[in-house]
Amino acid sequence: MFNAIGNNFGAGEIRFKSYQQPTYAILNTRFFMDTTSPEYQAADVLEITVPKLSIDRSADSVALIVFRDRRQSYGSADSYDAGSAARSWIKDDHTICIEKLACMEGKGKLCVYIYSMYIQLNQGLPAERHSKLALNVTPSPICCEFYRDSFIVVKEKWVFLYIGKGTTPSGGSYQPWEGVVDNLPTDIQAIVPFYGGNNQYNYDYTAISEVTLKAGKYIHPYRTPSNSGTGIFGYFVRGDNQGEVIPDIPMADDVTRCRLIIKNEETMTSSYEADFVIEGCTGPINVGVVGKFVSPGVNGYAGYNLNEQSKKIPGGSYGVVCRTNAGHKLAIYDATSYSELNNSQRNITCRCSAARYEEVEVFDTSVYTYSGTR
Amino acid sequence: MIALPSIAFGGFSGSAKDVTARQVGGRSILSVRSWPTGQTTSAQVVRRASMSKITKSYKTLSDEQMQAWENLAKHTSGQSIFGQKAELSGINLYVRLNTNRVMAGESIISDAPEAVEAVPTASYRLAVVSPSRVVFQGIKHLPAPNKLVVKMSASISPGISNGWSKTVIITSNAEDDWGEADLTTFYTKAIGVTPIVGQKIFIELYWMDTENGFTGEAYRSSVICVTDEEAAALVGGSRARYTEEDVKEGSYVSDFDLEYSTGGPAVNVDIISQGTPGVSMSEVYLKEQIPADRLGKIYVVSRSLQEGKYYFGLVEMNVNNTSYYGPYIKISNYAGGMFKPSEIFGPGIMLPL
Repeated sequence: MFNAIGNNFGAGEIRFKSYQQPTYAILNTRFFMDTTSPEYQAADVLEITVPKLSIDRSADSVALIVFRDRRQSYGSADSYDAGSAARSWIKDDHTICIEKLACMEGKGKLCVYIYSMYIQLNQGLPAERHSKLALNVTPSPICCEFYRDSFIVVKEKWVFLYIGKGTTPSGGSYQPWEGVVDNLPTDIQAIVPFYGGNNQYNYDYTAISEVTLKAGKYIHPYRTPSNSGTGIFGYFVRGDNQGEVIPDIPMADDVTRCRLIIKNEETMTSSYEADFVIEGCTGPINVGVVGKFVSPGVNGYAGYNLNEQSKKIPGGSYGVVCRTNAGHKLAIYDATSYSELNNSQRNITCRCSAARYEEVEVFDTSVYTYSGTR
Repeated sequence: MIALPSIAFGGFSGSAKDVTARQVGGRSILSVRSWPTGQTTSAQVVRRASMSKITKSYKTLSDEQMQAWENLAKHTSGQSIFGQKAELSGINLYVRLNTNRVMAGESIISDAPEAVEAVPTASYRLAVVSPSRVVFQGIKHLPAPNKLVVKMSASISPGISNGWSKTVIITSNAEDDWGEADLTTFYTKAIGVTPIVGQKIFIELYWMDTENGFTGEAYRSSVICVTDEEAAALVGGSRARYTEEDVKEGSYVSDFDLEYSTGGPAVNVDIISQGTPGVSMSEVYLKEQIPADRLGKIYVVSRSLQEGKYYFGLVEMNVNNTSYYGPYIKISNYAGGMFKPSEIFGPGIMLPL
């Protein structure tokens, strides 16, 4: 998960779930923008500035852009939201671009959905071929069914899915409904554009409503179009995606997850400044660290006495990556750090190659290896 | 008889025969009029003409604009072969940057660039020159507005170790295609003769920021011309891709690019589908048998290209060697409708047939 640093079209916060590899990136986001804002009107291409991505450019991918059209009918507000597909690409390792669609001019508030993969070309290796699983739904109340050709490709960190919704029996239209979907991983959570359905007021566009995928369920809270040929598709990042997803680290089981908060005067005693969190699991031993501490000693040494003994995170050494900001200089360098946690003495030692009195920022994007209990 | 001043005495200037003396930035510079050693290329003629035009245009600038160029020149150094950093004047810089811009097809700028960032050095992994191919691979890409300037020499004896002075610009606005640049046409046009097998070709590459005309450090190398067969072995086969060249006439696509060499979980698709008349699909007939590792069903987004229609959907591309059509791709609607014409683009997840 990361937040955009800025954009050139006047949008507010844009938050991405991501899975990034050297040759591709999967990005998931849903955000709003306004065609009446001067920034939007001044932009030729919509650009989102983000923290460094794993790839420095991509071929064209897809963003879906939707405008709102709500109309009162017999006392209730009906949705006639509709939209189209725009090209989207990674221009450089800090910039995600979206094609500005001329057909959206004057449409006011727009919602942008990105559930896409960004790939590179001429990488010297062939694309992977996948196997699929069928997707079936057990709806409650029973009001519609999925097409038989609905499928999902399930990978360790992401899925691609296509759900085609079949016809809705009489009386089932306009009823909110949800259903458990076989083979849909429970760690997928997203608000997804659902294409098709009633668009009598915007028949030059594809009608769009929203579906929520959550805990293995398909939830359609509002309009359920009665006609067939509708559904959802996209690439979805698995897991809660707190911090960048690191390749090949098994997902922590919720039961085994634990957090250790290191904060001045709250959970530890020390004159040294610190505000960071260690999170890990007892299963495959991986630990994440995020936060900052000030290194008062030589070689970035800082020790903290914990108020309580950590019950779940095993003592040991954890190699992490950090960076320092020495005296507010612009020069920032990376260094490898490690933390030692001693449960019996309830203390933690953090060291890195930073100079004395430097602020050390520890990233949750780091790889953490456990080197044995002491 | 012409009395030539001795270089022991500074402060002289003027021309005598082919020698010109001048004072620049406190330095005495003697220059001998240079004469072209080889055949003048058309690009050189254009460049010389544009330099003259640019030089004259400097006089049309306002005082403020000239001062801005002078200020920028103070922070910009030129090349010197004497080891002393050469100072540039405002007009020098104006002519240099604008000549570069014009060479890249841009217009002359009157205002000095405000923000100038260093342009990185160009680099590549492989250069292959044969009598009918000039290809670079593994070029480290820079996004627009940077363009690649490539200078190459004609075939020179392989015993020559320094021939970069013989290079001429073969293109000033090359853009790499994912690290690859096929410069065969440019080379043939600029040099006029095909490379000779076994001879050496000198190469100089640099990036140019076409927005302000600044260039990066030149990357110099040389390559021995190989046979076309050797070049094919070096270059070919590394990119699994179908383009319009691989599609038979009578196919219902007007643009076609299907690439498998993504090194990732999806192929890349960029197609304009016209649609087969009378049916809800579009058919593509390929010229050559499709290798087994490229067969499959690909799912990718489509968008209507009908005037005033903005629908989108998902199509299925069935890539197969059929007994009836031969190597064949059937593009059919999978979700959201089949639009004719439509553009089909983006990553395509590939499943087995």
